[in-house]
Amino acid sequence: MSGPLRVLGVLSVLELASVLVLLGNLATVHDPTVTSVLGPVHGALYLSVATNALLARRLTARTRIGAVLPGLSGPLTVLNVRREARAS
Amino acid sequence: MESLLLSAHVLAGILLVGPVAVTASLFPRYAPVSATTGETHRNADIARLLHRVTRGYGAAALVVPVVGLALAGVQGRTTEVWVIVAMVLTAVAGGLLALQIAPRQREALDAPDDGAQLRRLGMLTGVFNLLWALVVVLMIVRPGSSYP
Repeated sequence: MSGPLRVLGVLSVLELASVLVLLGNLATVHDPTVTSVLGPVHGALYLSVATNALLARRLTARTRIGAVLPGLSGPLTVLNVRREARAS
Repeated sequence: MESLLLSAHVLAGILLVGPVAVTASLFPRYAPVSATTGETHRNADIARLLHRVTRGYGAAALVVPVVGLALAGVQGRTTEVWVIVAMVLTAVAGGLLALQIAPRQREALDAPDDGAQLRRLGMLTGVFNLLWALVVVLMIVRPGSSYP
């Protein structure tokens, strides 16, 4: 797996994890501290996944489009990065 | 805490992003081209050094957005529009440097062509520098900020 693809993979896993923790918090204790800290972090991770996918070279259009879809960006990119790593 | 974060943010911005703006801009002037055009200022060693500084300082400059995000969190202004716009511009600039400028510099060093890839690098670097200029102006003007 090439360097940029690995970075994209790590970022998308982190993004997926952050959104799962946010949703878990919303459904259970609903602690406002968790939301105020993790919310912006999740936003920053979404942004870095989207810009990474848009600007990296030699990615398929499917990976690029999937990475900018709000809500689906994390999980789709986790899958797409694996697919691209297998294909190369 | 706020003063410490703000100082680290500004200092890292000046000392880490500044050199990248300079080295990335100078790179196309010194990188080798395959066709002998009689240009005397081409020097592969200087170009390699400029590439190293661009990469090293560029990686270290990740400190700037990370500390900036922490600072915005501490100040409670992560939802202000100018902060979000600055984050988007920063993400694009960082992506441009890591995914386009640095790898294209590497290619220009490994396989020099007639100068076409250097012209493209010059354009990308111009966009990169323009994005940082916009971010700095946003940090000073803070349009829509709730406090002075």
